[in-house]
Amino acid sequence: MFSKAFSAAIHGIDALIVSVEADVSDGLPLFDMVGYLGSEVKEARERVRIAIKNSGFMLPAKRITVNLSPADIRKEGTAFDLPVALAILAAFGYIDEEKLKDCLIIGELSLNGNIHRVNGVLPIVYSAKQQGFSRCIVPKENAREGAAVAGIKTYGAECLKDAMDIINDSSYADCESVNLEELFAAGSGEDADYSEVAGQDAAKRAIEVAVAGMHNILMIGPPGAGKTMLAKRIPTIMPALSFDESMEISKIYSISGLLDNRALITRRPFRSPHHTITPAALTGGGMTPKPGEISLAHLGVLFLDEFPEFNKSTIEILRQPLEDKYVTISRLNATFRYPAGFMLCAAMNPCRCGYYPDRNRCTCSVNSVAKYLGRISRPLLDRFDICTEVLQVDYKELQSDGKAETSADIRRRLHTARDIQERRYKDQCIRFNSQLTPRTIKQYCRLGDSERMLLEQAFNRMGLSARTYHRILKVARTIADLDGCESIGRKHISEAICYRVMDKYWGGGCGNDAG
Amino acid sequence: MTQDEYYYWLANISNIGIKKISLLLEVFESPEVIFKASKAELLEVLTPGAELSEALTPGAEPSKALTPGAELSKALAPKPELSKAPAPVAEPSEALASSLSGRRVKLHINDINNIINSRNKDKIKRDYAGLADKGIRFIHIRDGRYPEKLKKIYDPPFALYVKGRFPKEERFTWEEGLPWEGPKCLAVVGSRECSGYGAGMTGYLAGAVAREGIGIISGLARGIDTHAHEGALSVGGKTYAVLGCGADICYPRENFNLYMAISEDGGIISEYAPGVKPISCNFPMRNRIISGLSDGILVVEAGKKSGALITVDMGLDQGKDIYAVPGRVGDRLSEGCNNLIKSGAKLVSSPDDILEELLNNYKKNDAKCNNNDFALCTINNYMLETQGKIVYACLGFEPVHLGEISAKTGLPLEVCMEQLLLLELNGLIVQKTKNYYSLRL
Repeated sequence: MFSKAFSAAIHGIDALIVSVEADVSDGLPLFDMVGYLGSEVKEARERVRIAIKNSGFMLPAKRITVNLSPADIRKEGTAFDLPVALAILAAFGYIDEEKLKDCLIIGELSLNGNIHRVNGVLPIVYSAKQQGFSRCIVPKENAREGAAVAGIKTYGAECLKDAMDIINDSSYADCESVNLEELFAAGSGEDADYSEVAGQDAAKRAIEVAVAGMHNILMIGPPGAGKTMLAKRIPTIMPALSFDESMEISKIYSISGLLDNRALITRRPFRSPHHTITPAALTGGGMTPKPGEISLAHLGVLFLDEFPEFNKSTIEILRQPLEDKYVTISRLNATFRYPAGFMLCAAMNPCRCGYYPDRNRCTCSVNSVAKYLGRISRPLLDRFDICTEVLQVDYKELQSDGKAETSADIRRRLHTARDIQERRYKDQCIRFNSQLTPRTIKQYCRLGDSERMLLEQAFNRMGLSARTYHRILKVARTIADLDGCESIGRKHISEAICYRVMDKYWGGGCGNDAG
Repeated sequence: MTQDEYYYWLANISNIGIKKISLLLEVFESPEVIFKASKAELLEVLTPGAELSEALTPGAEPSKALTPGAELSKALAPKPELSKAPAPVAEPSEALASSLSGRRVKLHINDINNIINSRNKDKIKRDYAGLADKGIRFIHIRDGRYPEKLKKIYDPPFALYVKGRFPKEERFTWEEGLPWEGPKCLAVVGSRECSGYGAGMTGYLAGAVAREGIGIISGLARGIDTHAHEGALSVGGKTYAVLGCGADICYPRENFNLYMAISEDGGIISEYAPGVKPISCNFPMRNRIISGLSDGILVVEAGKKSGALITVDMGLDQGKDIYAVPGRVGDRLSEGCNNLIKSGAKLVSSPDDILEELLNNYKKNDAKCNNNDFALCTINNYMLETQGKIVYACLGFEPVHLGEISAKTGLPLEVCMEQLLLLELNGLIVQKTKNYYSLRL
């Protein structure tokens, strides 16, 4: 007897439908599995045989052959246990084979027949819907992930018997459902808020500008000034996720097994990897590539605390994804592309002890300050549009109560800026001011005579580079958008110049410019 | 071989320093005699040394009695300012010899071997000619050009190497170009890790003093030294750097431009032969030359244990005037200066304080801004908006952060940023580091 069930394998951030064929024939009793299998898939043989036995089905001594097709793509993971078991049971006649045709099945079996959770349920169910399946059987623990996909019935099965009941009984009504509206409403309730950060008006303003135009931001300040606190609250002022965006992020989280039975990710991600992170963990990688931190921060914030402490080769890897908004990982079998459209926020101390330029507290020599700052390469530094100094908060500010703006207030202001950008770039392939190129800058950042004079004066006196000049214009554009101004004014340019990444800081001179 | 070459040879024998040289010159008349002396003659030098040490060894008293005596004679010696009459060439060596007898320096048999082994005429001639190629002059202690000021210090260097573009015939002879024959000199010393205030004050004071024709002597180190040289150069004054390595080596390397500028408009001075590496033990030694060549020592910023205080101690031993720029109580970098003022150094709040001491008939120029309001008188030359004036008023010499400026003035951040940019573009303030602003000195 021959039968066929459907399952899926994760490929990049998408799923690929895999058909599981089982054949039972006479001959020496044997259980064989073929189809370019990883070792964990080969081990399914034992799990499936014993799980079937322990679920109360008799397997007669026959020759069983299972093939997973397409046979030229390497299968990995434990999600094939359940479809293999069901295909075999169908081949023995326990299940009507016809009923397997519109059903996609995934799940890991344990020896007693229970079904365990697997990674990547969301993209699999999503693909199943696109491929025209009408039902999905997934582990009970992952059922909510699948239920987030509308237009396909997702059933959560706890054990092999459950799965058989669902298949045999087409009137099995108990399919999983998730109320998306409720989910999104609950998700927007943030627990952190900018009103909790005392003082730091300058840094808050810089962050506001950065978020408005999705500019990368670098914060420099003494230890304990609140850089981490400020950064953690960046997602709270970003616009709420749309359903499509949420789906995009949730897929990545589902593949990484980080969805934890929430149906969807409803908050902007905030990822802050430790500085000992390896290049592969940051960008994604491994023999079968998995998304890294930069993909997990997609549409959210990647926060790199203690920036100079990161391994040089690790952070240099960021350069390309920062430009392209995705990362490509090539392996022998395949090339994967993970999205990486994050806003980079980095924090660092100005020197080893952290108190430069306060000479009464900083004990570093001029050389060691320059050396510390020199750990960040110029090209990477050039990816930051905005650089801000975070000051030590004094006691008075800590005690002042309640006057600080809440995240909601800031988000409202940002809304206008985002709206303007959306309208301006609706015919373009870009979305934010930070993505402007020198050519488009000319088009969208027109200056009046007085503004041009100011910028020219600054350019000559401060020795700006062409790259800095363009970055100043981009940031000035965002500031003007925040103001709701069509044209860029002098004060917008002044502010943008204030936010520029200074060459001098990296020259290491303590006031060599004097005189 | 010329006499200079003999001196050059003597100055560059390995393991023979100024004390052993003095001992040798006590016995032999000149380096030439030493060069031509046979081994037997040289070995005789060991004997007087041995006798001396024998005389000293029985009891510690004689040596103790000798040492204070030597210091006493030094203390009784006429003050540098009073002895204007040129001293005969032989005198310093006698003075040296007398002070030497108090020290227990012995020549070892290895030293004799070193002397004999180094007698390679070709090499000496070649090396000596190499100095000229590098633009370095060799001045030994019995040379008429050797600075009188330096002969009076406790252990004057046997020879000096001077790199500089001397002579500039059309203006002065090259002796005049050197710090010791021309007008007076001021040593400027201070911390390597200086603050913005220290940097600004150094540049300002050094510039104002150099403008009056006074040479600025410092050590080419980072921080205060650098700003002192730059300050003097910026007004076209003369400045001299005393190094702790060979005069052909620029240390620290980032000061290379400064090093080149000084060898154009002043001089690089070192007691070490070209090629000597900047090792740390050389640096305190060169301080005695910095103080010895100067007529007064200005300390701008010095911590409690700053190396600048070594120079001050040496200067005090040499009878130099000490000037110090005060700092706020509690500033780590000004602790040394404030302590100096407490113990009698002259407080400097304007260049006049130094100039009136160094120049005999210096008249204070009242029209010039004095320190307290020189910042304010510049601002009136610019037509600033009211907001600009408010922002300007809350700035000082210590860098202030943008956030603090906004909090102090009560102006919104955007306004502060705009005004600060205008002030910066007008050259009234400087941005020391990212978003930290201070007044321009």
